[in-house]
Amino acid sequence: MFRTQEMEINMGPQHPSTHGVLRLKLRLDGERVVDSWPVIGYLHRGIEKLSESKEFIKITPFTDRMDYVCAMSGNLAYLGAVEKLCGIKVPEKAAYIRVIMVELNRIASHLLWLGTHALDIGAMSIFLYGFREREMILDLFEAYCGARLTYNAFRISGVPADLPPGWKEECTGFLKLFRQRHREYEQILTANRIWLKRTKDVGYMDAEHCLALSVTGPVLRAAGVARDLRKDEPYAIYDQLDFDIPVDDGCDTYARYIVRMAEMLQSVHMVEQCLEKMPSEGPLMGMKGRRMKPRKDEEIYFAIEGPRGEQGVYLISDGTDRPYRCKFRNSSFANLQALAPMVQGGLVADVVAIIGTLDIVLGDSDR
Amino acid sequence: MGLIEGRMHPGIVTTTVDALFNWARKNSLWPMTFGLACCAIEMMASGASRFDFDRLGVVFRATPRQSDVMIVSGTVCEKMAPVLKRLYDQMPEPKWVISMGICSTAGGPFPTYSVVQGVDHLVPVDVAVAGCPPRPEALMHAVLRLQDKISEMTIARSSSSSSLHLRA
Amino acid sequence: MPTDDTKPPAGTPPPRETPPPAPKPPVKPPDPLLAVVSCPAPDRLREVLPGRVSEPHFFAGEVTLTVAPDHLLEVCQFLRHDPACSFELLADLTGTDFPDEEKRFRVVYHLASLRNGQRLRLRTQVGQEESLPSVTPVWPGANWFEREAFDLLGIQFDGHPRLVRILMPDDWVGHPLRKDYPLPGYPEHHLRYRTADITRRSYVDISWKATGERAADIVKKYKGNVGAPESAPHVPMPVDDTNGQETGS
Repeated sequence: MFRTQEMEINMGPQHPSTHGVLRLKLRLDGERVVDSWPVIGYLHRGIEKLSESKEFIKITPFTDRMDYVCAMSGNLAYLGAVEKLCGIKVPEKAAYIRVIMVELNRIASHLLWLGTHALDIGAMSIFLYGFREREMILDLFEAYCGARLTYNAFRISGVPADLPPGWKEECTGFLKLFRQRHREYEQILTANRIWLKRTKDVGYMDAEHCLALSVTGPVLRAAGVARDLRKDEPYAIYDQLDFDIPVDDGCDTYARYIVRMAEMLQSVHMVEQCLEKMPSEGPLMGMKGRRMKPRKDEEIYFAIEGPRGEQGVYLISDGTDRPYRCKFRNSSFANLQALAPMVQGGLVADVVAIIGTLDIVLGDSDR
Repeated sequence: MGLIEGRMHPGIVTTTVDALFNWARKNSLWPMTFGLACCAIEMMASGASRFDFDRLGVVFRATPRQSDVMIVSGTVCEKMAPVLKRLYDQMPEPKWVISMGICSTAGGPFPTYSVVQGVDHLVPVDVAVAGCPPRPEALMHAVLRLQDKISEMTIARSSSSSSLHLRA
Repeated sequence: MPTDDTKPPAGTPPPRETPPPAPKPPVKPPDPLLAVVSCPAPDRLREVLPGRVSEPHFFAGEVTLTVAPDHLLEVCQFLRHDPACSFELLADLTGTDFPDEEKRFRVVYHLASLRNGQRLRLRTQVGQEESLPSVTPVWPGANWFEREAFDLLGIQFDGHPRLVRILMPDDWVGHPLRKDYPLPGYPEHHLRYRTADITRRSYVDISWKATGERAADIVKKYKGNVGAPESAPHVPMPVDDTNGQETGS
C-alpha cells in the first residue's frame, strides 16, 4: 500500500550519545536499521608513531591519554609489558598499590559508563549520582598522585610513592559508603520497567559471535563466557586475591548491565582485601636508575583485563632504550566491531543504547 | 541608570542597550556538547553534580544551532578539523570559543602527523585554558573570564571578529 | 638488565619432549626469559602440517611460530579448528615496518585459546609489492585489524571484504606508521587539507588502489628519510593538482 524507501542518515561525530567522536552511517527502513558503517579515527593522534621516538619511560603519559576513562589500566598494561620485556620484578608492596589503584579506577570507569549509558536512555538522575561517587574516587587518586584524570601514577618496576597518611582510612570509608550507594543504583534501575524495556533483548550477541569478532571484557562475560585475564593469566597479585567473575548468559544490554554492576562490587571486595593484606613495609621500586636495556630483536605481548576487555601491549625491541614498535591492542577498537552486527535489524532508538552498552572510549580505539 | 531613574514609574529601569544585551548574553552561555578527548570527561564532570555549571547559566546543548559557545575539549585531529569548522559555522552569532586544554590550544604532547597544532588554525579562540586536562575549576575560571569579555562588548561591532585573547 | 653472551641459539630450541640441554660451562645461569614453555600447537602442527611453520621461538613465556604467507591461511584454519589448539580468539593483528629488510613488513597474529588457556604468536613477512591472504574467513574480527594495518602501513590483504582506510581520512596520502614517513607528516599537505574550502569538503571513498599507488610514489620519492623520523629534514609534499581539490564529490 505504502511505498517505503531506505534512507541514509549520519550520526556523529558530534552527537551527544556517541561518547566521543564516533560517526555512524546508518541506512534506515522506517525505524529499522538495515545497515550501518561505523567511521572511527576522528581522535587518531598517532601515539604509536610517537612512541617509537620516545624512551620507554616517556611513553607512560601517552597511555593515560588513550583510555582516559581508566588511565590506571593503561599504565599497568604498558608498564607490565616493559617489565616483561626486560625481565624486571615488581616488589610486592608496589604490586598491591597498583592493584588498589586499578580496581578503584575500574569502579570509576564503570560509574561513568553507568551514568552516560543511563543518560542516553533517558535516566538523568543516575548520571548525577554516579558522578557524585566518581568524584570521591578522583579525590582519592588526587591525594595519591595529584591528578584527577591522567595519572601517570606508576613507574617502570614499581610505584613512586607510598600511600599518603590517612589514605587507607579514607579509602575504607569510601568503600563502605559505596556498597550502600550501589544498592541505591540497583533500586533505581534493576527492576525499573522503563530500563527493562530499553535494555532487555537489545543488542543481542552470543558468545560465538563475540569470540569471532574478538570482543572481550564484560560484553563477552555477559554472553556466558567466564573469560577474565585476572583469573586466566594472573598478573600483579591477582592470584592472591579472592574474587568471582560475574557472568550472565542473557547476551543482551541488560545482561551487560548486570555484569558490570556486579564487577563494581567485586572490585570493592578486591580493594578491601588489598588494603588488609598489603605489607606495611618494603621497597617500592624494583630497579635502580632509569636505563633500560632489553634484549635485541625480541617481541612480547602483554595483556591485562581492563574495564572494557583485554588491553594488550605489543613491543618490539631493537636493543636500545626505545621501542622499535609499540602497538596498543585496545579493547574499544575490537569491541566496536560488534556495533554494526548489533544494531542491524534493531530500532534506531536502540542504537544509542547499544553504543552505551559497548562502553567504548574513542581515544582508546583511535589511539 | 541615569538621572531620569527617579522620575519614572517605579519598576522601570533605564540602561544602555549594550549593557542589557551583554547582561543577557553573559548569563546564559550555552555551550555545545562537543567532547573530543580526555578533556571532555572533565567537561562532563563540570556539568555534573559537584561543580554544577548550571548555576552560572551554562547549560549544555546538544546542537550547534542553539548554542553560544563552543568548548573545544580535546585534541583536534586532521580528520576532525573539517567537522569542527562546519560546526562552528553552524552556530549563530554572536559566538565564542573556549579552547580547553593544551591539546586544542597548541597541539599538546602530540606533535604528530594527524594532530592540528592549535585550534586557532581553524576558528578564532577567545579563551585558552591551560592544563592536561584542566580541572573543572579552571574551566569555570575560563567561563568567568569569557563573561568578563562579553561584558566589554558592544553590539555596534561584530562580536567574533574581535578575538581578544584573554588568558584564563 | 644485562644481556649475557651465552645466549642459546634463539631460533632452534629443541622440541618439547626432550629436556632443554644444560649449558656446558655454566658461567652464568640461563636467562629465565628464554625458558622453554609448553604449548601443544607447535607439536600438533609438526604432526599434521609438517614443514609449514618454523621451529618455535620462546621468549618471556611466549611462543612464536614463523609461517610463510602461502601457508598462512591453512595454518590459521588448522589452529582455529583443531581441538588440541582451538585458538578461538584473534587477540591482535598488527604489522611492523623493517625498511632495510628484503621483505619489508613483519605481520604478527596474536592468538588466544580460551579452552586451553594458551597463547601463540604467528609471524610472517611480506614485501611491499606483495599481499597477504586475509584471515577474515577464519576470524571475522580480523576485519578491522587488517584495515588498520593497511591504513597505517600499506599492507595489502587479499580476500578482505572491504579494505579501506579506518583511522586516517579516506583521501590521506601515505601510510604514517612506515619508518620513512616523518613524524610531523607533510604539513604542506595538511595545510591544503585544512584550508581548501573546508566547509564544503566531503569525504569520499577513494578507491584504495589509487591511494596505495600514490603512497608508493611518495615513499619512493622520500626513501632517503629512513631512520630517525623526528630529525628528518622537513620535506614539503608537492601539491598535487589532480587529487587535491577534486576530492569533494
